[in-house]
Amino acid sequence: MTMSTSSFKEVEQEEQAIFLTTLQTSPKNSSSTPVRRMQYVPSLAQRVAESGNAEVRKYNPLYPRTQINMGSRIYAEQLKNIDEDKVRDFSREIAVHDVYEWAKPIGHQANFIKSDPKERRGKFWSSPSSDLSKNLPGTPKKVEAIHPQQQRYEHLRVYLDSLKNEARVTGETEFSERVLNLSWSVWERLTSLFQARGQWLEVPDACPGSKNNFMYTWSKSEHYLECEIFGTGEIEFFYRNRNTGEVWGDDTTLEQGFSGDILDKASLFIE
Amino acid sequence: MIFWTKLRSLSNKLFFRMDSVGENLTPLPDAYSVLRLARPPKDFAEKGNILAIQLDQLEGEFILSSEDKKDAPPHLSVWVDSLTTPEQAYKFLSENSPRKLVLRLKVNEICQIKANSGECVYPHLLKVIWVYRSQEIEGELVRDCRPGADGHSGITGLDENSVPAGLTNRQQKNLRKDLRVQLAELASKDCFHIMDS
Repeated sequence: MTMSTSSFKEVEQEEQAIFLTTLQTSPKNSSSTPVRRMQYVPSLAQRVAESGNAEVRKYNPLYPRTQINMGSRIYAEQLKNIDEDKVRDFSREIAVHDVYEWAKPIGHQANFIKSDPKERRGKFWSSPSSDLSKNLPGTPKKVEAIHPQQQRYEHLRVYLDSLKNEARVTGETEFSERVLNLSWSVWERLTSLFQARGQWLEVPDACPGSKNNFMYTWSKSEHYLECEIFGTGEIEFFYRNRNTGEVWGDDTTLEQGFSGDILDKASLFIE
Repeated sequence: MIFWTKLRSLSNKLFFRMDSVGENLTPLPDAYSVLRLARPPKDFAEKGNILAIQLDQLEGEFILSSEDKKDAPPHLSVWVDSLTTPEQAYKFLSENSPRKLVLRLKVNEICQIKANSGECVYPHLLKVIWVYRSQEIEGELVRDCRPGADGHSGITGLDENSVPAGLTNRQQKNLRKDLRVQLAELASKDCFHIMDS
């Protein structure tokens, strides 16, 4: 804790050097890559500062961490605005890793979803290298950040739980706990099928009905898809194209699974 | 003849009253707008998105006409917005009902909806009619005279029996779902808000 500023810089520069080497030589599937990328931010800021670029303020180590935590995608976007050869090279390096981050193997994504939310949120801060920051004086507090799609996934869960409570407490709802449980299972099954293909299905809007039914809806430009789940176990899919007026429908159950046609329609709503 | 037709049309425009109640089970004028109270869907708070609203709570009830009892066709309960306020309409629902999202739909747009069964397109399946409300007082069914009751009306054509004959089960479902989606889209297009609790 009595470390002087100069010695701290030395340590940090050493860390950066290690990182640069790792970034260029480590295999793409290294799970530690995103963490290291986060650690890289201050050092890049310092480099740009040395070259006198005014944009450096954005990348100052003391700049609120939330900006950085939003992910390397935003970070790489911001980097594009800095017109310097050195930075351009680094941003390309980061962008490559960023693309990889979104096309991670399916297994990884599935585990990411199923893992504990706290664990997920702490993902970028849990590596040994990031632990260095807690020893530094005046380091901003760690701020948790979740991917928007992840956030919507959790919102859906919370929404269904709140409806379950409503059904339990009042006992007068027009929908049962069973239909809500079934609806969650339908969503999990559907989304896992896409995750198996390395794709993210948009988290749908949702609302219960009055006939012990529950409905998911997806809407994107001219495409509209709904999935209506009934307490009896029946699941009805319906698609409508707003431009052409074309409609399509298919019925199934969780036991029967989802047909190719259903998955084709749902794939219109992949993020 | 043309002169008389034009004169009648002009007098209708001049003396047209938005707060006049029509005959029971007769169509509402095209210029009217109706309110519907719905449960806000999941994305309403976050995105203002209301596409997942459920517009399928059909009611079929005995109502009292001037002469005798008539069976109202199954209808989606709505309220003429010039005769009933959202707060008045809410009082007709069960206590603490979660249906606090106020949707506004134009009658002429509802009637213009064309539904697709997947094989064929059907126009003018939906109608908006006056549906007098009644209440039981001392065992007798009388016309409801509570504030706002006059504006009660219904959208017909959404039930299973209203679909054109000769359609398969799948086509019937497509048709009904297509009607419901288009109603929801109409509601999304116009202004909607959530009532103060």
